[in-house]
Amino acid sequence: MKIRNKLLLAFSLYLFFATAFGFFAYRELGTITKSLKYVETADDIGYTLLEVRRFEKNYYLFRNDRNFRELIDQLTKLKSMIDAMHNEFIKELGERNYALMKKTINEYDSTIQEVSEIFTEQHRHIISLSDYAERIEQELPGNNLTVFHKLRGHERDFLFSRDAEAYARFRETAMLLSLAESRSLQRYVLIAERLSVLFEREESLTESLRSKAREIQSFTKSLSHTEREKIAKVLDNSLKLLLISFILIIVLGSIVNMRVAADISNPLRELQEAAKNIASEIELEPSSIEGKDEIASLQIAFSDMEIRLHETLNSLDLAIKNLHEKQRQLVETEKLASLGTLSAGVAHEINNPLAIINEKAGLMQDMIELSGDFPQKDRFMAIISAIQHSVDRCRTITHRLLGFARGMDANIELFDLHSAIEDVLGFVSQELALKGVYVQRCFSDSPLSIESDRTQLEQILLNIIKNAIDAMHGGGSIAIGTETNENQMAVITISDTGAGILPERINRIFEPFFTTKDKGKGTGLGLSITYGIVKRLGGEISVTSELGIGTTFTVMIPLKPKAALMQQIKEGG
Amino acid sequence: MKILVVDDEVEFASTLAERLCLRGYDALAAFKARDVVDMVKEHDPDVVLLDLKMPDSDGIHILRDVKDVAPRTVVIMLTGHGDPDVVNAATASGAADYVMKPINIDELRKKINKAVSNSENIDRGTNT
Repeated sequence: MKIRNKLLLAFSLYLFFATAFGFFAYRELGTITKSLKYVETADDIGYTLLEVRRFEKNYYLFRNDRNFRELIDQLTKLKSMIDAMHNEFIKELGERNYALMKKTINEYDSTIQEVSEIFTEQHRHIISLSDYAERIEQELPGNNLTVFHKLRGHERDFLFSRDAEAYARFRETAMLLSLAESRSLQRYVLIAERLSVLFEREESLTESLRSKAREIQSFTKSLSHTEREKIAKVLDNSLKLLLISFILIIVLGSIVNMRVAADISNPLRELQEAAKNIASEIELEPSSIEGKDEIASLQIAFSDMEIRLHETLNSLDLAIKNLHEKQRQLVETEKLASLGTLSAGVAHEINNPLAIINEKAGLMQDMIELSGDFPQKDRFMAIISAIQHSVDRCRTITHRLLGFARGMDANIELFDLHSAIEDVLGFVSQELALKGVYVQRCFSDSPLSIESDRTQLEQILLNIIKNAIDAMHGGGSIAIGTETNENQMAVITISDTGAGILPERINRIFEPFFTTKDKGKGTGLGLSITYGIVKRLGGEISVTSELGIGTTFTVMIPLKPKAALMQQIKEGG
Repeated sequence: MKILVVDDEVEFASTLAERLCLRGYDALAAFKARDVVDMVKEHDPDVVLLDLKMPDSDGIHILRDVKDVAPRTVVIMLTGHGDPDVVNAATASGAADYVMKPINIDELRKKINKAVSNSENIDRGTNT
């Protein structure tokens, strides 16, 4: 799985948890809101009911119309609240309970109406009672009046206490009076009796009113209580859900995180290790990458590797260049060696017929010399001489070729390179003077001791210097420099101010028979022999040239003979 | 002075022999390696001019054979290339000198005379 997908998966998991939790929380929150609404409604109803009770109490206390109207207003408000109740609330309360509640409120209403009627009647009776009492006081005779006054005392007690006991005492006292004597007294007692009934009725109605109010109250209370309990339960569940979600997120999240982190970091670490390994394989100094994350480490490892790869590539480039140069030199050496072998073979084969030509020409010369004069004798002698001259030229070529191939005896001695150069310059002094060539010496600290074959070294220098002289027409200069290099070799540079060599010819300059000189002036063997000698002495020779500026030969000869050369000398000896 | 010229090149050997005769030597030629020892036995030459490179035998072997049958005979090697190893080997096997082909007749005469006189000197030295 791709890292992106892994991260997406982990993120999706979190998202799922969050959404699930959010969904549950939302649902619970909805429940709570609804329940709170119910509670609120229940409380509102409860509060209105309390108001109803308060006005009921006031009405009971003052028993006037204003209080009654207020009570009825509150009751109407309560009824409208109950009627306006939402269906869901009704469902919550229970259809039956709702109907029961409504019925109870209606009953309460009718009861309070009845109470109101009773109150009105009571009031009327109490007033008429007082009227009759005044009338009786005027009508009754003196001795009965005392009793009546006593009765009035009982009447006041009865009206105050409104209980059956007080009425019974009133009734007892009334019995003492002769009811037949006064019609007003009869009415008076009847009204009192009616009041007693009304008081009893009031009491029972009051009791029923209270019980109904309590009933209504109990509905709202139970609803409020149920909803509150529901809220508490939901809150409790939410808390549990929150706790479980929290634990799940921590546990599962940790696991997923660890897995994803491991999935991401493990390959990164492996990659980093690999990069380190590659880096160490290419001898890279390990970088300090502690205390950073895997990606930073990886970046460092990669940049290190990149640097190292660059270096490696550069050194490889250099190595390849060196290899190419070596290969070129090797090919050159091989070419020269095989050319040498071939040339030697050819030279050897040519040498025999050449020897016969030489003998035949010699014999002819002998015979002509021994014979007497004959026509054109001198001409014959000249022709034979020309043949012998050509044979001599051929002999030079074949002997040089053979020498190039087989090598010569090396005679190692310790000598001063500068004195050898001076000797060579001595050989060619006449030619130098003749061609107007000036020699410039750039010698290192004199003397430069070297252990080599002086004759062969001089041969090398002579060949090169002669070539330089031949390359310069109309004067010029030859600069000869000497120094030693770190490979324990004497480095001799011979630069001329001659015509220079064409670039396409410079690579062939050490090949046998290759010459830049005019026809007949060079055998094309001088430099190839020079090359052979240099190689035999364990040295190197190279040439650089620029057309119109000049040519520089660089000859490097070991300061001490190499082991191979010493071996060759031993065998030869 | 009797000289035997040995070379597989018939024209070379015979012409050289003829030229040496013209210069007063008693020269004859041999063209095959196997004939050389017989001819040396038969003619007992003072000098043998021996080609180092014969197709049917190595020049050094013939030299040794010649030296076996006629130790006092002066042998001068004829060589195409003057390889020092071969020349050294020839000298070690009893050759007096060597001449490179093509031959300069005057140089050859000098070398013959020198070698013969050296040989005679040695003989005298050993005799006395």
